Amino acid sequence: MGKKCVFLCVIVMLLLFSGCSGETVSVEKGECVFGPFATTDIAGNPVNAQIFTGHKLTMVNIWATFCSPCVEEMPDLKQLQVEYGDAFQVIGIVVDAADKNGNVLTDKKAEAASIIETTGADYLHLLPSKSLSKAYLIQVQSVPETIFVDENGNQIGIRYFGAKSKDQWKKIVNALLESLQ
Amino acid sequence: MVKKKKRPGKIRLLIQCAFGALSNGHLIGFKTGKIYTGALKVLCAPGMNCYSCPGALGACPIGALQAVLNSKQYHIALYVFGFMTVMGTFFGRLICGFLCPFGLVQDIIHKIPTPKKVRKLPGEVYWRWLRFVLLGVFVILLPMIVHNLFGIGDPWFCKYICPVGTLEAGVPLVLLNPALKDAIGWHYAWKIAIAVLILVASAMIYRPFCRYLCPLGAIYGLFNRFAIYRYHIDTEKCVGCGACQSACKLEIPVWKKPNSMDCIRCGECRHACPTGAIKIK
Amino acid sequence: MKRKTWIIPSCFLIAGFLMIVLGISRGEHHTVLEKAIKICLECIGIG
Repeated sequence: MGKKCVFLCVIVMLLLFSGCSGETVSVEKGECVFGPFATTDIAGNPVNAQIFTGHKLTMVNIWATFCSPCVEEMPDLKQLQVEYGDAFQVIGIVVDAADKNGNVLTDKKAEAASIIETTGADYLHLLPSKSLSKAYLIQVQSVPETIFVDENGNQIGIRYFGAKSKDQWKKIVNALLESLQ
Repeated sequence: MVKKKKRPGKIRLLIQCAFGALSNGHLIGFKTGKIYTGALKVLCAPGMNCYSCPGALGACPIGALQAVLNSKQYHIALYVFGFMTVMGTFFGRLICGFLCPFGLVQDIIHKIPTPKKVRKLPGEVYWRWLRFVLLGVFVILLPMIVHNLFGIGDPWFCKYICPVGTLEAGVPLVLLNPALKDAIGWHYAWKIAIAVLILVASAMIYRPFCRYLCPLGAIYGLFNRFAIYRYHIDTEKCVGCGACQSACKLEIPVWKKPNSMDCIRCGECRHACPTGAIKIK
Repeated sequence: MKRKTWIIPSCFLIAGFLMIVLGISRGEHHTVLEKAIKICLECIGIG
C-alpha cells in the first residue's frame, strides 16, 4: 500500500512538472537585451529600442502596482534622473499593467498612473507587450528588478534584485558610468 | 481476526513525505533557482508551504491570506478563509500531522538523539496562546491596517517571522541565484536566526513551531472539535489509565480532551491505548 | 444524537464553499495567483 502510494505520487509529480519546463528568453548575446521589441508606454505612445539612444546609461526598473518596496523607491529613482542629467535616464516597466500577450489591464494601468503621479516618478513607463515579455519579462520572477543598458540596449552590469536606497543606487550608477568611459 | 498493527508513525511519515514531494513537485526549480509560475498556484496548499519555494506548486494559505489583506482593493479575504474553513472542517489539524512539509521537517529533526528531550516549557500554557497572537496581529491586523501612501501593506508574518519561507525559499533561492547573494543584509540574517532557532529547538522539543507559533495551526485547531475527522472516546472502554497522555508528545490529556486545539492527529495515543477506546469518527 | 453532530460541520462547509465562490467573484483569486508567481523578496529577507 505504501509502495503504491509513492509510485502514484511520482507519476503525478512527473506529469505536473513536465508541463512547466522553464521558458527561456530568446535573445542573442550582443543584441539589445530586450530584443527587437515593440510596446507602448503608459500614455499609449508606441515605443521601441530607439528610446535608449541619446543616453549613455539607462536604468530599467521593473515594478508592479502591488509591490510596496517597488513603489517606495520610485521617488528616489526620479531624483537620480534629475541629478544625473541627460547622460542617464530611468525607464520603468509596469509588469502587472498588461498580460504577457500585451493585453492591457485597464484597472491596473489606472493604478499605475495614480502611483506615478503620487510618487512624482514621471519618467517613461512601459507596458508589457508580447515581444517584450518573450524577450525579457518572462524570466522576471521578482520585483523590483533593475537592469542597466547602454545606448544600444546592451545590458551593462548584473540584474539587481530588490529595492535599494538612493545612496546605494548612486554608487552603482557611478561605477557603471565610469566603466562606460 | 488478526489486526495488523503497523506503527502509525511509519504510515504517517510516508504520507508526509509523499505529500511534501507532491506539493513541492516543481523539481526543476531546484536546479534553475526559479519558481513555478503556472496556474496551479491559484490553489492554496493545505499546510505551510512557502510559494517562493523553487519547488512549490501551490500558494501558501497564510501567505495568500496576507497578500489579499494587504492589497489595496480588498479588506477581507473570503477566498482564502473559505478554503481554510473547508479544509478545517474536513480535516482539522490532521493537515498538520500528515500534510504539512514544515511539520515533517520538525518531526525528522526531533528524531535526532539529544541529551535531553523537553516535554514542555515553563509557562507552557501561556506559550501555546502565542500562535493566536501571531495570527491575529501579524497575519490579519497588521497587513490589513498598516498601509502605505499607495494603499499597499506588508505581509508582516512572512516578512518578519515565518521560518518556513526562510527554509524553503530564502536559503535555496540565495544559494541558486548568485545575484540574490549581493542583496542580502540584516533582514535576511534575522530570518535565518529565527529559522535556525526553531529548527534547533525541534530536536529537543516536539514541534515547537506548531505548538507555539503556527498561525495556520491556530486556525485549523479551532476546527478540531467540529471537524469531520475527529476523535471520540468510547467511555465504556476507557479505563482512565492515562497511557494516551503519556504517549502524546504534545502533553494532551486525550482521554479528557480528544479534540484539543493542540492535537495534530499523529495517532500515537490511539496506538498506546490498551483498550482501543480512542476512535476516529 | 448522531444526526446533531453533522449540523455544525455541514454549516461550516456550506459557509466555506460560499466564501470561496464569493471570493472568486470578487477576483481575490487573481491576487493570490499574482503574488504566488512572484518571488516575495521581502519574505525571504531581501527586498
